[in-house]
Amino acid sequence: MKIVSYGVIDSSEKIDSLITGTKGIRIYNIPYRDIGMVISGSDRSSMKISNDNASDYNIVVEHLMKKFTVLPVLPLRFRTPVNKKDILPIMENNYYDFKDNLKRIRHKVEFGLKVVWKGDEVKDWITREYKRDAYGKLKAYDPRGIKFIEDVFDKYVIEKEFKDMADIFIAIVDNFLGRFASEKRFEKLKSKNLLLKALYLIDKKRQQEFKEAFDVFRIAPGNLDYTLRGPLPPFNFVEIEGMETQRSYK
Amino acid sequence: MLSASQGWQFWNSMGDITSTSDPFKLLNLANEFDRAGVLTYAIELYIKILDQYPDTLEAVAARLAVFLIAKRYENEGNKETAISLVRKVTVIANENC
Repeated sequence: MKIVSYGVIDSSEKIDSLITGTKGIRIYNIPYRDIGMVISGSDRSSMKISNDNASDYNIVVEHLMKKFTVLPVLPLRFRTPVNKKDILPIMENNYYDFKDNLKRIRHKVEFGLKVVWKGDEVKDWITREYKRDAYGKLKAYDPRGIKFIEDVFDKYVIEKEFKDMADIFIAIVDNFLGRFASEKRFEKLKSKNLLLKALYLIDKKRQQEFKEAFDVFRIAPGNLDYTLRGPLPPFNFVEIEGMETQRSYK
Repeated sequence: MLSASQGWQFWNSMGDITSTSDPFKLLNLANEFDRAGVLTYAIELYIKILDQYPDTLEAVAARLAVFLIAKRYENEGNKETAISLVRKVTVIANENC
């Protein structure tokens, strides 16, 4: 029998609830020692990728997060059907990993930050600075070397300066936001304009403080665009050997 | 960024070009102090960048950093320091206009 799992929770207590706000989803907790896997029965429609199903999944997870620490791990995440007979082996084989992760993420939520800059403008700025002075000096020194020097500038120096500058901007942003986080993960310069994709693991008690700190960026100088997503279950901070987490930000 | 008057460059033994510039070095150092929580030193260097290299990308970064430090002071209840910091940056910006 196929079921839908919503994750592992830090409780083995009995749950049998109809979740309001969903299309009649009833959830159950399958206990294993002192933890449990929260599941619901599934039909074909609940396996489909749709906004309704995604919304239902989020409602259930949010409902669980109010009372428990929720460990959303593959193959237990949204739209991944699990065979009922596989639940016990999953719990048995991963019990200590589940426990360790539950401890790490207990009372914590995840926030995703995106920082966008104008990559072309930054590169133009860097190139302009070089051309203005350094090129003139080199020209006087050795005109035959200009082409080669230009290539080096374009391929190496400008790129290096671009990355160095990105690192500095990221550090400035993180100096401000990172102090709220117990763990963080960065992806730098995933594209020319995407300066930073960061994930912060924040204690629930500090999430308001973190959100208020983020609001400061709305009026900050520097011509960067910031977006914040969360609070979310800490999908990206789950570390279980042999099990893939939702995304890799390591 | 490098400029002939402000920075330096050389060919190293590997035939590679290495370059850096004064404002970038200052910014890097300021950021290290900022990260280490030595805010007075960090501010001094950020202000120096704004004052001496106002039209550089480093100045853009320094302005953001000083703004965020001022906000930290404000959040910690140290409003006077925050205001004087913002005032200082505004004065420098006006002088450079």
